[in-house]
Amino acid sequence: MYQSIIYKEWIKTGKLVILASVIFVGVIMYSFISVKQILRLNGSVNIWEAVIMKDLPLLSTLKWLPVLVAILLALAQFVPEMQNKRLKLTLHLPLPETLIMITMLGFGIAVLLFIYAVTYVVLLPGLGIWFAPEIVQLSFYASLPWFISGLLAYTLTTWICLEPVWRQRIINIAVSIACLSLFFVGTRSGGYNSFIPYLFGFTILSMLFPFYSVSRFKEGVQ
Amino acid sequence: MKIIKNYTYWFLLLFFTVIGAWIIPFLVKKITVEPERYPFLYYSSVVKELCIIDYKDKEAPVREINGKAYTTIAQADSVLPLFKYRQLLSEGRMPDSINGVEITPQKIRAKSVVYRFSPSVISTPQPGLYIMYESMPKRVGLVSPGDVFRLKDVIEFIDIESNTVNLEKSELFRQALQKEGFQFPAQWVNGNMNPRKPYDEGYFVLDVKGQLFHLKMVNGRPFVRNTHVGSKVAVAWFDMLEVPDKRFYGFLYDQTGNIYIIGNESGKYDLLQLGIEPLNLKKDQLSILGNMLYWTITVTTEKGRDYYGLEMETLKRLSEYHVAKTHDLWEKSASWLFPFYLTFEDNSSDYLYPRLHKTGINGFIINIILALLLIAAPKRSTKRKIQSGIWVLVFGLPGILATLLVPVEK
Repeated sequence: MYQSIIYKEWIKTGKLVILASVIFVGVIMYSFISVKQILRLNGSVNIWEAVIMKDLPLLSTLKWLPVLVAILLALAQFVPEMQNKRLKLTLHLPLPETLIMITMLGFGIAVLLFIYAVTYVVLLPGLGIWFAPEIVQLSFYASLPWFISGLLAYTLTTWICLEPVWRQRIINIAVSIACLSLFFVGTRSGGYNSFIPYLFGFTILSMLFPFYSVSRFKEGVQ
Repeated sequence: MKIIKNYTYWFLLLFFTVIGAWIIPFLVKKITVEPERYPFLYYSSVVKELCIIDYKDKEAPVREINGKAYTTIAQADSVLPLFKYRQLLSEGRMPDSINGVEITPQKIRAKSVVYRFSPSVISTPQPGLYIMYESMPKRVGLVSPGDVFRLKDVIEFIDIESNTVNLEKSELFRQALQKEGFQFPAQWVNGNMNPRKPYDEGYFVLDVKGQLFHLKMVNGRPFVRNTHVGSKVAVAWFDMLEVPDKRFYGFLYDQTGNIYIIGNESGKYDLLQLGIEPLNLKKDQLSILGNMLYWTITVTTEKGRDYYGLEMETLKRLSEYHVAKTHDLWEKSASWLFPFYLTFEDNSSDYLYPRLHKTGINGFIINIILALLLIAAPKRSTKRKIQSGIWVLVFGLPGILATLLVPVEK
């Protein structure tokens, strides 16, 4: 049954997942080309000094991509469920509702984690060819909030999609935007270091939110 | 699902409350905050007193802190010859000497000190890589060395072009540090990496034992000295300032917030304490405007602003003045609207994390009123009213918004 649910999720999101993967590959390649270009035009010494002294960002092209892909993935997964109240049928599958929801959410989070992890696995060692580990680490810390915000955006969008009442959806959207804005405050690279454990912990707990919406949906709240 | 829902309701309530406790005060502050208005003071070398300077005040552009006013611009400029020397020079009114000390524009510039300290200088993420310039370059101006170094558990120079460790240079510096008694790992490394400075004095490094070492590169060779400053005071921080006359290396802060200069004369690294009250290195801001006779120091604290006039040679306090902080509309509003509120950013740090600010107990009056209103409102069960009432009593305005915006479980 789990495989069937996962297959159903793949049918809904497969094209988007492939497209998102292609976009991520493109952005990774662009990041490498961009870094190589600034090194070639300005010289390695100037760029290293700019990173050390002026906190020049190396991965800024990635900034909005994780959150954008996460929102689109959640929409692709859960908007069809809410059309004509198809979620009712899903919840009637011969499995506990909680497990059905966990499987659906788990699918989305696994896809995002896979894409994000592959991005880091390619990008960070790639930067390590030209830069010292300290600079690579700095880029990692600078970009980590953007990737965590992607995971949070996914759970919040799911929460919003599954909410049955439009008025409540708008309230949830406003609160979600305020919350996500915390991940994009302009500060020095590494400025989020002591905040990341809070953000990560909250992201994990926010996986409970969609269950609240589903519960309201089941109760027939209009 | 029911159990999850019950827990999630309270978690959602907390989430909405936290967002409210941050965003509502944030918006109120945007609307009500006013700039801090403190006067500008400068120690006059003529009247030997701190003077309040406000050239917009046509009746008294300069006023001594004891109240004596100088009513014309010409008088005002004359009282502050080392501050307004360019104006006085252009008018041909610059004195040849002050207090028996010969004054020339070159001397004024050479002895000029401009320095600022903010806690965010300490509370900021560091990349952990530093640039070591040649301190005795053969040509004028500092040239990028083509490598950077890391100094924590070891010292390593990394060649930028090849992105590899220069083993020979690293070993040379490691041996020099250890020969001078440096104990790894380093606690911090401080220097001025900006190449646009008159000369280079390298770095001051605090080792694991609290000893402060001076490290620089002279003719391609390591120069390492134990300043022995760590034996005299508990070193907290050091800020390098390459002043034109090379009188000192920079400003040293000890653990209790006292400030010293480290002398750059005869290689002794003598400490000279500034005659001001200790700083809170996590909150207070400091600025120094020094001339060839006196230094004017401004310290901004949570209580207001303290001004000091110091004698330049001894750095002893000659005069002081305090301006108490005035509470603006934001602070007045906040004290009534919220007993506490949340921020994630702060001027005193480059790090983001949740910070809880207490404003006082006045805000609880609003909380009590809101809680009573909620309890009196219809359409809720008694149990729910009591729960929500307690929530609003504690969290106030963000709490009541959260209870109204989070859909209630059935």
